[in-house]
Amino acid sequence: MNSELFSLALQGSRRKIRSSRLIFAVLAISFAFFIITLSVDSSISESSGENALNTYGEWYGAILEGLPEDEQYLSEQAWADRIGTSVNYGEANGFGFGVIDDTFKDIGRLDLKEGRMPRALDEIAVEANVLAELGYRIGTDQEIVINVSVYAEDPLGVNQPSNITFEHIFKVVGVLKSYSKIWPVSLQNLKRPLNGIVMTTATAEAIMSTASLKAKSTPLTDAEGNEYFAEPQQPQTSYFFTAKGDGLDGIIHELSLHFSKTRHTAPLTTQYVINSTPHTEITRQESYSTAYTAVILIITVVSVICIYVVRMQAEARQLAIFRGIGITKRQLGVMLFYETVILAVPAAIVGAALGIFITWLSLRLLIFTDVTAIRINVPMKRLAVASAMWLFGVFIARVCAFAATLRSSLIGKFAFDRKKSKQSRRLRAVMIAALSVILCGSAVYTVGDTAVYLENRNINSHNTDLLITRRDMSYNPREKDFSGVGGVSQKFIDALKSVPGVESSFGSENFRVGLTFDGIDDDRIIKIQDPNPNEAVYYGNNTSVNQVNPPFDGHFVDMIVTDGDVIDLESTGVDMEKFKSGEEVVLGFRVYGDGKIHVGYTKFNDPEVATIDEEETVSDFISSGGSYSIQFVEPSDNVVYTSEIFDTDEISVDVGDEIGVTFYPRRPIDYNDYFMSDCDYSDPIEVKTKVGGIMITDDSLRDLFGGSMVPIESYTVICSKEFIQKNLLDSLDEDEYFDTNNLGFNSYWLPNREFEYLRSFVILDKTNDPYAVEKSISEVLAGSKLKMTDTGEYWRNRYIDYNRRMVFSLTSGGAVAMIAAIILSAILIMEAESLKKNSAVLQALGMSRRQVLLKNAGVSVLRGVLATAAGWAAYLGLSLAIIPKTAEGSSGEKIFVALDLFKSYFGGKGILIAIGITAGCILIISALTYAARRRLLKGNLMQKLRDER
Amino acid sequence: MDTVLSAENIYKTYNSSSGKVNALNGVTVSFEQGEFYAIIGRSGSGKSTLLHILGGLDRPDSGKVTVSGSDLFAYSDEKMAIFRRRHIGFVFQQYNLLEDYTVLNNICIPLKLDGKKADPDFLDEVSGMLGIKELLKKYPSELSGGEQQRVAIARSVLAKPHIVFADEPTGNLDKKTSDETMALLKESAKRFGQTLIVVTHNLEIARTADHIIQIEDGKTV
Repeated sequence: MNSELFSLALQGSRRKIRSSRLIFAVLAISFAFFIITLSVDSSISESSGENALNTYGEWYGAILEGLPEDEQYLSEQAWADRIGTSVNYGEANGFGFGVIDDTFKDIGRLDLKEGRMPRALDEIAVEANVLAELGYRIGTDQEIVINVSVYAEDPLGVNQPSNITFEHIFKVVGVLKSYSKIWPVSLQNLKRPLNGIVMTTATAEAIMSTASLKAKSTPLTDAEGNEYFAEPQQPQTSYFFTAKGDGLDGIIHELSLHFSKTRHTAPLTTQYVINSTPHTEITRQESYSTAYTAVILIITVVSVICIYVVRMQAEARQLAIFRGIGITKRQLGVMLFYETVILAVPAAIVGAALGIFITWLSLRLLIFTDVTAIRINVPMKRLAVASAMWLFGVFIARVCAFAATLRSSLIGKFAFDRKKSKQSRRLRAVMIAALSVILCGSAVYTVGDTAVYLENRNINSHNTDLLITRRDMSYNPREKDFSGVGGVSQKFIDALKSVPGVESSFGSENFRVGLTFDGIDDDRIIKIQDPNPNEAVYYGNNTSVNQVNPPFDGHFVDMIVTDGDVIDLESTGVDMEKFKSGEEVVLGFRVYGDGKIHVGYTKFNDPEVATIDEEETVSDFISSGGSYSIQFVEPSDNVVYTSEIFDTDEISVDVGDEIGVTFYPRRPIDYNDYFMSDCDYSDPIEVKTKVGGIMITDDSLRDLFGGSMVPIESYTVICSKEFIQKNLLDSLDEDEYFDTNNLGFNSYWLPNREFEYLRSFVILDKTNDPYAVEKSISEVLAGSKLKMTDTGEYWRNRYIDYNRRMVFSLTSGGAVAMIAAIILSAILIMEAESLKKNSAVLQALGMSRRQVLLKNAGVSVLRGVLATAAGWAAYLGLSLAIIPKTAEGSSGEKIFVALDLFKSYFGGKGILIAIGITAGCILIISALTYAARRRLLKGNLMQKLRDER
Repeated sequence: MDTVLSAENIYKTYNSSSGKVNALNGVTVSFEQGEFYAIIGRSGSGKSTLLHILGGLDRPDSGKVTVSGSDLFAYSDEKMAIFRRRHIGFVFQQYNLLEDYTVLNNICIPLKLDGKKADPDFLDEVSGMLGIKELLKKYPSELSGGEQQRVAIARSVLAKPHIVFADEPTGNLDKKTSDETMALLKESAKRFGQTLIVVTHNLEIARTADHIIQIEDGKTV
């Protein structure tokens, strides 16, 4: 280092820091946003990674239900780090039971929610789900009875013996974090479920001994009629391992090799799995952050060039003097570098502190959930590379700005010549325009993108987490034994609502009903499906088609029974009092991603109906360009399910129209015949009612009702439970019982004529750990005939994902907009400084103060409008340029397309949001320009007139 | 007396908005060691252009400038810069001090660029003679025009150059300050044995010079 040059640079910079606050601020803020973008991304990625590891475990791979030599094999592999074992002995209620070792517990991150691991005979630690599904309260210090099933095998290989099932009493000493139904180890890979019930080896062996004894009580018979007994299957051990090193791709190959040597039956691949979900999450690089930091770097460099160029008059003079008194170009370059370092390093330090603080603040304020507990992480390696580029960029910016100066003449007054002054003004104008466009474009993008994620996050926050259903649905209608019938009462649903952490709880029931409407217009879509053309095809002994519609003429649609609290019915215009009292219903029409209604109907190649050509088959239908889907019905030459597409304005029914809703009651003949392949039908009951409102809905309504659990097709009648009570149940005779469901699924009986929901959904506040709430609910459920199933893992993960994307979008897009605004403001101030003399001349010639202000206001608003228009154009242009190509008719993921985005995600609100953003951008640019130009009126008029700039 | 600087047949043309301007039209001059030269002429006669070319700030279209026997314009830019800081001192009408540096740093910069430190005795002598001792810690913006010009003179002599060029050094000063400044310039040149070449349109100043070079239409007369 040349100490004299450094000392000169330092001395000059001391003075310059005072006179270069603007550049210092630009550099500090630029670096702060650098840190914010990188740190937010890194913090969120790391937090997501941690969340994924906590959810799916940190094990890298597993050999499922392996051989004893597999453990030896794994222990000899250099890439295998820790090896944990899980030994399964059988199952209970769909959960495995058995023994896990400490390593398995560690690498699976199987924390105990409460209590301890089992140590003594008959002690168990169970997942909360097990207790909830069995109808026990979630908690320790209780004795529970579990129906355990041990897999049986036939020693002769002749029979397929049933599982050996018996009750066993256990003492719950610990509650494990749920994992067995969450880990990416499905039954596809595993013949037995993972151990949701964990016990000691002694307990497991005792169960096996009981199973051996039980097996002896049910003899099997060989081909010659001799009796013999099934035996319990031996326990199965699965080996889970973590891996060392980065080159993990080869592990799959090595495992395949090992399997080909040790196994002799296919398929081999299902016996090992790679835990890709968390590891993909961890290694995922956020390409957006690189793009954002690149944009920030470019803005910084260009801004520094611009600021220096605008300041060139003063700076160039100084450099020319230096050159005049004998500095060489090399010395000048070194000095410029030192000056840059002296200015940029403190700016970077200030920026780093500011950036880390804002990162912390943003993440704390925006991600406020226990679920997404955030870890602040500054990625030092990436930051070091980015910082070096940033510093280099700033230096190059400075050198670029003075390249012209270095070539300039050293004579005279070292004044800035007119030509360069004009170039400087042009550059400044270009920069003002460019920054305005960047500011508006990034504001549009940030607001739009953030709002989409926010909307999606909020949609997911309202999706259901828990399903409450009847534990035992057995009944015997012939014997009039209804002890196991019924569903979830409104009283119980109301009780759930009062549990802390429960956002909402609501009942759900769905029927298949007929729909009639006098105003049916054949050209419009209310014509719905074809009436039942052929009872024989629809119904009968053919189990492949017997679940479509009841054997009556009519337009069959789905019916949702709801109390109306969880669906925004009011916006349909329905009078809620009339809805709740059962006087009116709402008709729902489901639209797809293209915003249209897809009406499905079935075509039968029946000679009497002849809806399709005799020769036409599914293949013909597809080859002729049609699309089709099969619903419930297997495709065959006889049955084709196809669809037509309609706009929502083609709905022929209006609010206030009368429609007919037909129920088809039936009675099963056999006890426990859930599919009712053999049943009696009563006379249909038709109810005339009024359409109180029409709802156009997307998949969110279906998601709300448990996804595929409640089929919501093209048409849905939404009614209140009072509608069912009043029109259906109250019409029954006192001793008459009734099956409410005509689909054949999930039937239940209402012998006491009091409506109960088949199921109840619970929506939790997704910002909390669900465990505490589930524990409280399990206490409400204990002793009832109801059970709880956690179905919300998917929605909670989506909630976290959208929350993460929202925060990243907001902070990073916001960072670009902020830095553009700050630099723009700085350049506008410099522009105003250079305009002082002109303004003073106008004032001297008689322009009043008010006129100056008016002129400035006009210029400011004009700039605001032009910049905002250009910002929108840039955003849309860029969006269209990078829009992913999607198949025609498919919704695709149009992340960047603002208009589609606003239209699809916000509907009517989209216009308001777009107007809001536009107005906001105009206001910001206008305000920045006007604020900068207020300086024109400051200072002494004569001084401004003497200004030589 | 030895010739320290000579110029032969110097031609220089500028492009201006009104067309080509022949600033210098074959000027030939030479300067002796330790003498005081005044270059006079009307505005636009080419006197400042000549000074800049003699000082290596500008290059002629043709002609030769010899300093102590060496062709000045045979030097590279790098060598020219080093030559300027070691052998030439400049005093300008606009003072051309570096605003971001103290007076002390301003006058020491040519030495610092050479990686040298100022001789404290010499610095003391120069600043004492120019009456700027009390101003050393101040910044140029805190000084009057006369004070700034005295600092510029100090800067031009501290590296002990052979030649000091002064371009209208009193152009921005009042009569009294102007007289004092010229007296100081001459005194320092005399004391340190420097050749002083002053461009001026002030005949009073020119009359005090050892030699007067008059330029008209780009030629010496």
